[in-house]
Amino acid sequence: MTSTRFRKAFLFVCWFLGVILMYTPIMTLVVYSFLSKGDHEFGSVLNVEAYRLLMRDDELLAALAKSVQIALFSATISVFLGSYAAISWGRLRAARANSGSGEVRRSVAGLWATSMGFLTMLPLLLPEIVFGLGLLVWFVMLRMTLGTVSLILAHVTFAVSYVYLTVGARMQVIDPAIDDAAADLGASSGQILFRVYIPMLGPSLAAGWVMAFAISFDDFLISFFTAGPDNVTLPLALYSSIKFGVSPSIFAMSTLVFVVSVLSAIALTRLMFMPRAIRNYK
Amino acid sequence: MTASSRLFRFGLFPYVAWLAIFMLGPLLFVFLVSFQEKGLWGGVVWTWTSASYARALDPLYLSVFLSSLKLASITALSCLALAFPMSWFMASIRREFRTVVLGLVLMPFISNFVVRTYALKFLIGVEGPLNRFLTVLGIIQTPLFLEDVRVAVWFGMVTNYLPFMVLPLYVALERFDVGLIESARDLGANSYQVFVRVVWPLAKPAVRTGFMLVFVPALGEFVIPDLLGGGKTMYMGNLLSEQFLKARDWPFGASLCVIMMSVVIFVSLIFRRRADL
Amino acid sequence: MLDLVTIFKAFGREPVLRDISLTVAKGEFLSVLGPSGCGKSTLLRILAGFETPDQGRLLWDAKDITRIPPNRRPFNMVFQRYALFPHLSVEENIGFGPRVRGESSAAVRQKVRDVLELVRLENLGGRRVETLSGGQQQRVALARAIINNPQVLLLDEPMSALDRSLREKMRLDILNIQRRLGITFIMVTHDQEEAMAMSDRIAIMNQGAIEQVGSPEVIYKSPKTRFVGEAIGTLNMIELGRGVFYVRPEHLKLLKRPPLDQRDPDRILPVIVREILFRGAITQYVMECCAGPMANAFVTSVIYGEAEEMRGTLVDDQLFVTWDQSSEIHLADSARGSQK
Repeated sequence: MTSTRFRKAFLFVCWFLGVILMYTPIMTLVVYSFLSKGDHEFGSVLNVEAYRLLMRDDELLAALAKSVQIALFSATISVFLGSYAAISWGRLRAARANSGSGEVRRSVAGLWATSMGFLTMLPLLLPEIVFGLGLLVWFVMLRMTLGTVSLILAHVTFAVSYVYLTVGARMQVIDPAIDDAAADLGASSGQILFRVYIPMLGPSLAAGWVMAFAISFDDFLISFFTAGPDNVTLPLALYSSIKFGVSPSIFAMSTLVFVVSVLSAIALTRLMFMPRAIRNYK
Repeated sequence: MTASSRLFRFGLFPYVAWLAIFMLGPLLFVFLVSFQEKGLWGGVVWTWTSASYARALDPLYLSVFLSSLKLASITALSCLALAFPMSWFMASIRREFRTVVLGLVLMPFISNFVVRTYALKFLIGVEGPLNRFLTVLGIIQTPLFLEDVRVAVWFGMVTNYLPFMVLPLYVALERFDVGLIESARDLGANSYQVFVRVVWPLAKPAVRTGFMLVFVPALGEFVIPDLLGGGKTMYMGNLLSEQFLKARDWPFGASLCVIMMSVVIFVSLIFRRRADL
Repeated sequence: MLDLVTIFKAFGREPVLRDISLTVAKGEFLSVLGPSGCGKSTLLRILAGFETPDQGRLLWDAKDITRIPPNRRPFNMVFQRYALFPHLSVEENIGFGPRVRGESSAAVRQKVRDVLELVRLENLGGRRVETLSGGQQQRVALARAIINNPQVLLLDEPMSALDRSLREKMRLDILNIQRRLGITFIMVTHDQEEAMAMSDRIAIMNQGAIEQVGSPEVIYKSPKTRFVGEAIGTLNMIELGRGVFYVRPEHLKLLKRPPLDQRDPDRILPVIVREILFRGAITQYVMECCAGPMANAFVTSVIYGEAEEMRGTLVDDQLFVTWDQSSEIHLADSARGSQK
């Protein structure tokens, strides 16, 4: 079967090429963050000068703090809004399943389903720049100062669908009778929320939060239009300093952020696949 | 009524309201603004006119538009050409390795794309490591990527958007048993027939999804052309942001937005209608 | 005593329950039997408090509980797919009720231990529920409900998710628990065998109304309507000159030759054997009538054990079917020509 072997080799080479292609920029960053020579140059001696420079770069550090602050707020608001909607949507489905074939209910729920699906998928259907510009003129028209608040509003808008989809996916595999069961056993509405829903959806809530955080933290395009002059998030700071030329401290900062992102991504996958791992173990 | 329905009765409302205000609102507003007149110092004078659209049809802008369309299509097709064998490979290896391989492919994705683009610019720049390396080795005499910045832009676009194409293709190819290919071969199909009759038809919906996932953001992309192309070629993204941020001509910028959205909707409708594409 | 007084419920314009009235005694095992969509699940949900009836009242010991929410009713439910909490262990699932009512953890632990013993899951207390088999999950659901000392236990198709052999074992287990606790069990099911085997009384529901309530024996022997007769067991419809009536398959006697004693020519049908299905304890004969007003209609008979005189019967053989007058079931609703 030489042709099979040939095909497999070809596929592997393509995959390898693609991976190299994707990793080249990142590896460049990491490697050159240890090869700095002065403020704006790179040499061939390994050192941590870039990281020392970074510690003195108040602008970059301030931008990092700003990004973290905005991402914290955006992720938290997104989780509340998105998971509340996802749980409610699950409840609506359960109610529909229990009440048989009420025509009125079905059409109302259908309407909700269509609008929810449309709104949730919209960010994927149109270029992001349109939303960025749209939000810019919209905020200006609403006479809102562009700043931290407008950034958070914008980031929540784009992160919330991901929370909704993550938590919604978990809701779909849960027995719709679960909260009837809790109520039947004597739990009040509050107890149903805190003793059933929140712990049961815990991993997906956490995953949704991390995802929302990452989306906000990484966002460039939306922030570019909605940040206003005095609010520089990390991607914006990187973009503007890049225009002035290379600097090792940018490489250092990017390397650090990348490492933290990778670690949290691994933690996140652990978190999401943990229940299954336990199940397999037992 | 289920037990906790009181608690969650209005739970969909905040979500839908938020998205209506901050997503649909701006889109509709852009649509409205595109039919107004530009104010003297930016902003909008509320008089209905289609002057912006007339202006957008100027050959100057049309050429910008065409280069964006060309860039987005070429990017999407290049990604497809590379991502297809990549995903096929990922779907055909043993199950235990798939997660690892997928993780490897998605990992670069979680680093910031501005920085990635910047690193690429540094790497392939005239005095960047790549050129120096190749010069030292004597493979090239003059630095690469100097002649045509479009190659650099294309290169940056493909590296950046590749995962968007790999993900849907991988999901689709992983779902059908690769044993299908073996059985097709067993039934006497040659490699070409296997691809055309088995793999491609099964992957087609995912190809469409992947194409749109790359094409849509690529159409409005302006950071990559800006950084890697040095702003030498104008694309829709640059034009748009300039109209809003520098020229402060909202109606004209808005009309360009509307045209861009129409193109995207048009392309996705073609995909939806023509199942054979 | 549980009293349902003219319960009416509609979803939209569609009535689901039409004036249901029913009395359930303390300690009774009542089954509600009916096809899907007959309203039996809605009835159970009204009893549990998940739904409020549009009209009618629900009385427990003469006290009106129609509008008492589910978390404050002395009733508990075993759900169809168990609805166990996936994030809790077996013990935590079972202890959920006492815990949300604020009982001390020592008391909860003791109760959980007792109940685990009752359902014979002593060794599985620490397991996650999704690692359990269907039958074990069933028991956890049962334990989770009875730990609250409910006065009425509601069971929503409790065995529909189990396979056949397990189902028969679970029947005995549930009955055994009911005897020991002495509380009222109300079970909704569409499985006639299950209803027959377990219940003190069966309520047969059809299109939102109760057609008949009675002990399994009464319902089987003297169904009031054809629907009831076919909900429990099989009916042979026999249409002769004198009218329409029904005979259970086991009451049809098979003869190889026409009986010598021709006193009762009204109760003899010539038939041709079409199928013989050997089913272990019984053998089922499907036959086609060949003359009279019953021509081309099918009748079924069953023979218990080894019937010496039927040995050697083959498909397409001619037989005669006869029955006693006492086994004829005459129904009010079986007007002439009302067959499907």
